[in-house]
Amino acid sequence: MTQILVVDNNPVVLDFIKEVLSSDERKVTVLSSGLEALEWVKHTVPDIVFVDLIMPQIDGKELCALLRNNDRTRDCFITIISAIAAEDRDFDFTGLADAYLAKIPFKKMRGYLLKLVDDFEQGRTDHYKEGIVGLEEIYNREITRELLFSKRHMEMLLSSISDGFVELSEDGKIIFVNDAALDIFGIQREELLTVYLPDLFDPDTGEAIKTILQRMNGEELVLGNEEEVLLRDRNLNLRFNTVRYGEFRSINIILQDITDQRKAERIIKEDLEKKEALLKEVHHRVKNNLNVIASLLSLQTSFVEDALAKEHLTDSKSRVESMALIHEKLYHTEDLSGIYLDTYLEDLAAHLIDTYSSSRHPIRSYMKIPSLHIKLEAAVPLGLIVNELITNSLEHGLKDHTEGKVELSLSEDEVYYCLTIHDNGPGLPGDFDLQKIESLGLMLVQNLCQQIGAEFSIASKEGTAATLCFRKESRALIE
Amino acid sequence: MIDFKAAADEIGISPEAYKRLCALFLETMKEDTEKLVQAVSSGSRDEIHGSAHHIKGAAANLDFELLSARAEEIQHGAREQDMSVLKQKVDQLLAEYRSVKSEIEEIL
Repeated sequence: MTQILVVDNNPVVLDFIKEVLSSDERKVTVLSSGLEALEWVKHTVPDIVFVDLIMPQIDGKELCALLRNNDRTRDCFITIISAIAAEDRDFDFTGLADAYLAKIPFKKMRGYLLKLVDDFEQGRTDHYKEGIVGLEEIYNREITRELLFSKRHMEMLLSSISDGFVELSEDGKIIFVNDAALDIFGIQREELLTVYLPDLFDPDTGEAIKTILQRMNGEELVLGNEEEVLLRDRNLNLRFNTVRYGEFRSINIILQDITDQRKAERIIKEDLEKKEALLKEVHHRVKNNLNVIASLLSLQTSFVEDALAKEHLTDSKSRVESMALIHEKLYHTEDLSGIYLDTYLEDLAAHLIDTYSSSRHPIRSYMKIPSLHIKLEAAVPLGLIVNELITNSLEHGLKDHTEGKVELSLSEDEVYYCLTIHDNGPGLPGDFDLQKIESLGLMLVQNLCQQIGAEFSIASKEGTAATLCFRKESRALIE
Repeated sequence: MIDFKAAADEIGISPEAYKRLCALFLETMKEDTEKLVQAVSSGSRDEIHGSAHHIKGAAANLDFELLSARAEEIQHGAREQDMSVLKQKVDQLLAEYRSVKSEIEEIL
């Protein structure tokens, strides 16, 4: 019994060949795709295989090469049957097949088919290597030749790119791979074709690929950006796209080996973590040193008799402490570029009230500050400004007040943020003139406002209200 | 009229097998003719050439010579002929196909 396999996507041709060749001594099986053929030869070894060249998914030449490289089908008598024989007249098919038969009208083809099988059964097949059979029945078609050239050109281009390229059938089986993809998978082409793609990866990645294949809807889908896709110790990025041509649909995947990129990212991340740890340590030490200075000033104060000198030393100590507080905030946060205004001002006000108020004259603070992030370069001058203004309220405005209160609020309009420190004391003296002031505190406030681009004003309004306004566009200040 | 028995003899298969092939031919021709009409309306000369080439071979296989000749004419003119001329030729091909189709359907 001669086992004959015919692979062609044209049902009329399949039925015709089966009709012509079937007999008691010849069993003919017809299949409509390369994928089906590769499955079939896993359990049956044919004596003769007829392969059409132009087929979707795995084309005829690819199928011939796979059959030649398969131990089970290596010795089959492979015959190409093709309607593009005229364009292929210069093609050396002998590496792929034992014979090449032109597709010609059935009435002429029948004789060639019967003779070829008969010659095989009689062991007379050597002459089939000499050239294409039936070529004299057809003529050259230049346009088809151009299209074939274009197809081969595309295959060569795909083979030359450094990224892996894989084409899948609709059911997820590999039907084309370029050389780079072979390198990534580390598997021979003939073992890779027809394999279900998810089976090549670990179970989790395989499931993720299955989900993507089910979700394909025309848009590009990517695997490997957020999640890690590992294959043979390599990090991969997979980009899935759908291709439609008429009724034919396939899925193309670009495989990028991002192992080096991931390694570089890891090094940068580790480096950054080390630098952040170091920076936190620096802030910690700066805070400690500032606290040492504040302690020295406090110690010095206890040795001074003069009330004015005591007041100056206490003011200086609170200035140093307002700066220390910023560095303390910094080494407790994840983001070392700045601090949050609300918690900083709340802690600063509480610390100053603790320093300046007494149990006889308790003072309460009220905060209406949103959680704005403020950059480090603006945080220190702003902290000093607020320190001066609260200290002024506590030392002068609310000194003898029995129900003193300080309110900090931040308002905004389209252009400005305005921070107001308001106390419920007696207000400013009648002859108060900011331009003529000789107080170190308010001189400091004005200079620091200039430094951060803020406009400062102070007025009596049911107590004293000091306001500094800065433009929203000054991104260095608040973001 | 197509002489089905003579055509089957000419190819060297039984009349039953020939009928079966004709039925399959109608199935594949439905898509091929639709593609050809689509190619003419979109003005795609490559696709006109490809579809006509396909129809020419499929018709010649079963010995529908006139249909094959009509397709060959379109294939040869696909690159340079005026679209209105090609459209006229496609109409002639479709008329011939309808005739072949009704004859096949009669014997099925």
